[in-house]
Amino acid sequence: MTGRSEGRPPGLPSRRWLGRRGVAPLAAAFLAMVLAASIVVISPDAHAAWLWEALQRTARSLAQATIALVLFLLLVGCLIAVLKAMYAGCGGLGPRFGTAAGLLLAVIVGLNSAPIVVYVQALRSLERELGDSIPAALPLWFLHGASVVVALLAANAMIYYFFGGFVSTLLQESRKLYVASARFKGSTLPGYLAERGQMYLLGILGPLLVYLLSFTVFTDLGLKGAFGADETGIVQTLFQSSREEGMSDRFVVFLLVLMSIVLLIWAGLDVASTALERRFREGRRPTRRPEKGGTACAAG
Amino acid sequence: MRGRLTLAGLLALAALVAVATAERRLQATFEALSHFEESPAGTQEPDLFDGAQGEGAGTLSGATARWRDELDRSDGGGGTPAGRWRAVNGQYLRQLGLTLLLVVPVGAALSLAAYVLAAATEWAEREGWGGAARLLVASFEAPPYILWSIPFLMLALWLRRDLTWFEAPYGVYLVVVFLGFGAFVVSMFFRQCREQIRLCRPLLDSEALTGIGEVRLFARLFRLQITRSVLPRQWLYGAVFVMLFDFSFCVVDPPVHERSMPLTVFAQGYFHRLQADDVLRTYGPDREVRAIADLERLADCETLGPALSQGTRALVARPYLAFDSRLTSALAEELERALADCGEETRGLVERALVSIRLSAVDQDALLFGELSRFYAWLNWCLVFVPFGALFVLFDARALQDA
Repeated sequence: MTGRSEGRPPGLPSRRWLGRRGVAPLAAAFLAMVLAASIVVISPDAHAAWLWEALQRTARSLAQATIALVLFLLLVGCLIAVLKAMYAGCGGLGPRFGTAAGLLLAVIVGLNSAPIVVYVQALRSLERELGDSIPAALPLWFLHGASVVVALLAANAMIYYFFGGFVSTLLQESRKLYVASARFKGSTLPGYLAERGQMYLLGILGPLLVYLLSFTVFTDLGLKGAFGADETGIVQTLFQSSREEGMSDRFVVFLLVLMSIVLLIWAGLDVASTALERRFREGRRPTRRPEKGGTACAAG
Repeated sequence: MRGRLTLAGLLALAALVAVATAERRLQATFEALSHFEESPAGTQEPDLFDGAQGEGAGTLSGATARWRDELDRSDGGGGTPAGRWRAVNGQYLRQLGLTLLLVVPVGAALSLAAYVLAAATEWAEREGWGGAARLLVASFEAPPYILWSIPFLMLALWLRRDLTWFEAPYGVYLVVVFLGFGAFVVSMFFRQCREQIRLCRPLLDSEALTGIGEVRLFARLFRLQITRSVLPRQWLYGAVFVMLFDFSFCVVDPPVHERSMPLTVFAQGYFHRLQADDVLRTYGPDREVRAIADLERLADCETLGPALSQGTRALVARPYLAFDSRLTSALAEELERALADCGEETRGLVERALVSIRLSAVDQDALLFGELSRFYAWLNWCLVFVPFGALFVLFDARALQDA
């Protein structure tokens, strides 16, 4: 432990806005970008325009993945509200709550058993069928974008993997003594679990974004022709390039640009998670119900 | 336990309903097609259409007949709708065997690879090489997971396309590609194994004090802890994920499968859809338009009188039947029966309607391949859904039961 951190409780993140974990991705991102630029300068077959093209394609895929991520978090918010309603309706945790939550997850299993492309194609057919009835105010790119986002949300087993993990993490936490004793301390179980849930969601942001970014290959393939060949995302371009040209200069430049951007995002997420973790650990306390005549204190 | 059994029962019921619906539709399609096969007019383009079935019509006509011959040969030449239905199911089961033969070992290999990586990370940390351990973790965590599939895809293409002096078996090529599909989930399995090893650290430390070597230490941990906790779930999840990936690629653009080689069920479904699309591209809307007009004329004819039974009149009054080839076969049977009883003035109308609702060769191709493609899509969905549901009930629903 360094001198600066003396007196800090163990496990509390450093006060620096960018932790040591965050410096490494920044340095790697810089290195990847320098390497990409070097290849463009040195190789006789490479073009400087590749860098700009790779950046554009990466930005397009990232924008789709980010919008899908935001919508996914909103969807998780809705599912949490459903779980809370189940919890209230079933009178707390127990077999009835378990069965109700199990049914909810079983429906998600059924939806996630169809591959992502099925959703892309269903949305495209719907778009074709609606045809003229679509209001002119909605531009075509918006409709295609909506197809991509909705399909990414239904991506192969994604909702099940992350939301199922969320539910089982909270259920495991609910068996811990400090949570199980919540009602004797004048608080509620959801109040105690809220912080754990927020930390879980914060922890999966990075993997979730990378997961969604990966799946843009399928939305690009499924919407082939809708956007035009020049507007496919970076992952699909890398796939196609690897199939057609193998390990070419273009493939390496595109890969390095993608990696540098993704590493920058990891560094950004690290900053955000460090700051939020500090905030949780220093300032947040489990929410308490208003006490009635000091009964909670007596129970505690 | 009762809750989990209920869930398992519900999931099994959903899968059974899906399979039964798909099987029933396929049987009905074969029965409808056999009706038109018996009628000589069914295999020819009626003159009424003036040959206007869209550009390229006829180039694919007869594909159904060839397909039926193949099915009849594989079923022992019975030639009945039931025999053909059995032959399609037999083919599906053989392809299912191949698919499972590929994905089950691949699922196990993915889980094993994740454990080896996690053990190597732990070993590096214990030896004081924290930097190397962090680098190993970051190399799996940071890149978009799908990028790990690309080296495998390149290796498979190299094996298949460039390695001309060595004829790699097709199965090896498919295994490499499936390993690439599964590489997507190795990062997640790797994380789970690291967490599991972290939980077992006190156990590892105490075992290490006995002087046991590192390799034996991690092998013992694998045997006693990992095989009972995370391995079965990861194995099943890996297999499900590889199938989902193959399913996804086979809906849009399979990068690996060759039609002349043994196919997985997902690839076969893709090729049937391709056949249906090819037929539909040559398929004009004329038949439906004319059939609707003729059926409407027949329904409006007041002199038709007792020639048509109540049931037939009800069928005739629904011109959208022209879009449902299975129902049009029932209507054709009714009209043929009525043809003997109707008067001279209405005979022409009935004959015209009979010709216009009859399926041409292109119609039959579109019907058969469209239905086969749907059949494969539903059964393939079940193929993913059943192990996915089993994974949920066996491993993940336990936490819900203990709630």
